Amino acid sequence: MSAAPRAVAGLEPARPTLLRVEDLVVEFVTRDGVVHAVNGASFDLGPGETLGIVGESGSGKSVSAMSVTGLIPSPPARIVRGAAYLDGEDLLTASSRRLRELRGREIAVIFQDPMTALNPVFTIGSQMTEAIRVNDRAVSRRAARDRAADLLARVGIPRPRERLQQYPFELSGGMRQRVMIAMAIANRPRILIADEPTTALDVTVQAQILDLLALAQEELQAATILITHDLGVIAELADRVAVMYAGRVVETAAVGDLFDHPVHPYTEALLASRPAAVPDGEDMFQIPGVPPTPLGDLPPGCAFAPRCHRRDGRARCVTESPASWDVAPRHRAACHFWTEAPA
Amino acid sequence: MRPASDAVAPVEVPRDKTPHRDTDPGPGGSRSASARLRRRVTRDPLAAGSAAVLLLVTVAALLAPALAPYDPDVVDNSVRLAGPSRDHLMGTDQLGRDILSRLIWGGRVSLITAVVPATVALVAGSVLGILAGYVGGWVDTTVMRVVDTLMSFPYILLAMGIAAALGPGLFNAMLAVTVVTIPIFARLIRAAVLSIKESEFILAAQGLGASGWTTVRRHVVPNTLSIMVVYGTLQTGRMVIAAASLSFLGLGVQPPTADWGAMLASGQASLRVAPHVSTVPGLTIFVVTLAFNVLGEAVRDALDPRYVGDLDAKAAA
Repeated sequence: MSAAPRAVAGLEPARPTLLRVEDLVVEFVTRDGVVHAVNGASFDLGPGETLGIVGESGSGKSVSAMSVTGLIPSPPARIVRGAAYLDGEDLLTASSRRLRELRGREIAVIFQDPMTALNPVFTIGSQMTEAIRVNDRAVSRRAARDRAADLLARVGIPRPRERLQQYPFELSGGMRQRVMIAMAIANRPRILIADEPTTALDVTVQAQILDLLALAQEELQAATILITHDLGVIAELADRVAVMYAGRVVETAAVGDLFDHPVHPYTEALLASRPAAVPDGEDMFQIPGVPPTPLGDLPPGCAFAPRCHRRDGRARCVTESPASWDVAPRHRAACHFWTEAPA
Repeated sequence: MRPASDAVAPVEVPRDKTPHRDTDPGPGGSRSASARLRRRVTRDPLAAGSAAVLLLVTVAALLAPALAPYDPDVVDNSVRLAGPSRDHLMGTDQLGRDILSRLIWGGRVSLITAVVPATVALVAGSVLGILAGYVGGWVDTTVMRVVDTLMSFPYILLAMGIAAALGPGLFNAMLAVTVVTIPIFARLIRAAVLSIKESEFILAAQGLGASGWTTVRRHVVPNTLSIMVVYGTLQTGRMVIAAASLSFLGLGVQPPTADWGAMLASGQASLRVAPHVSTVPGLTIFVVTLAFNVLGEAVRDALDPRYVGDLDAKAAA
């Protein structure tokens, strides 16, 4: 799935790219065999843009985003193929030392569960000053503490000076996620990776955290990769969306395009399964079948073929892996029969 | 052992201002570990008692020359196996030596043979455990196979081997006890590191740019610290017994030097006529070991920030 056969160069205006991930293949070697987590995922991220990566559990969305940071434990993970260019530098072949330099400074990660992402034995202040100073030893402890208090105030934590004295267990989940965001933006990174930032939180707090993320991003002008399985979160925050299925990006488009004109049958089915897509009182739609197991050899055709409503028994779907087609400017989909998508 | 100075003082702790749980961090929540340890020890009578016992034994051992009423090694045939009296508060042994004096002087030997091996084993075992657990791979395999081998070695057998090779004595006894204790710490700390290594806060810290060394120093070690201290204290109690056992068997301190284990052994023959000769050092060993164990528990509670709320609740009750 390297170059799209119908690449329409010249049609798209040249767009600056901050991060470009190309044909990424990541496997996990386990006792039971090789798990194919990511099978040729490609996506790119423009400066200041928010890219939502959506997909169900195990579709490879976290692994493809996190492999950019070098934080995928290896072994068991193995990056088989692919590249991830940040300013022309391939992060997948960069030394662990170089990646460490980049983490925090250029790329910062916000994790899913704020309950476990803070070290229980240190105060908030101690951890924040550490996060600030680890990237810049020239900052004095006092200055780092002042900055930490300032950051806490900016992420909407009242009485930040007092909070700095507290341990993580004294803060609520939402507060902790605010602290994590404050730590992530402390060194003004150019890329934020938010891995399911609201999944572990109460619904009421989720909205606040999403607002805060949008605010932080606006202030930093940072590009964001937002990993989620929640289409609502995507609709709210993302500029563009990459839909992943079984380790591949099956469709990418601007968020409005994707919601209004889904081209890939999986995207179509996914949107149809939203509660909002079904009139009141009717049964909700669900995609028949289950995703393929990532363990063992990959089937040759399209991974979605067994569950696909568009396939209609055609053999090509199970014999040939679909290429990624430019279906419209800046809208790509990996389906042999994309032309059959409803207009 | 310093917090004990508070323990012997009357338990008069100023009550904290009414805590406002919802707005205020509350008392204790944001205190230093040593402050929490002090609180813990002063409010828990068992912990306070243990600290007091250990303080007493330590002070007595340090001030032995001034405190001991008699020379511990001087033989007086006129008062052999005498029971407690005004002259000899805890009686005398089969050679007429003052038991209280020997107990005080013996405390020096017993504490050293307990604390030094426990500390050395703690440090060495923790370094090995962190190395094995954090680095993993062949380092882990190598370290842990050596540890397994050492662990299957009874310390008395090792002490006998060392005594046979190098001669019996205090240092060799300590060496034997240390060598067989290192693996216990190494195993424990490795297991703790393995689980801490997988914590999300380690990944989060690395996601924000922490290096491997920073990760170990700031996140791995502090999270194993409470295990180290608690188990170190508990092991010290075990060391008291181990050292006494070796002396009892004649593999440790050589006569006439006073030592609790040796005293226990020397009273054996006269157990029927003068039970105090054995029971006094025996009870001392028991009480000191118990004190180490109880204090270990208290230290655990104090070092774990998650227990603080619990402690506050207890204090308020």
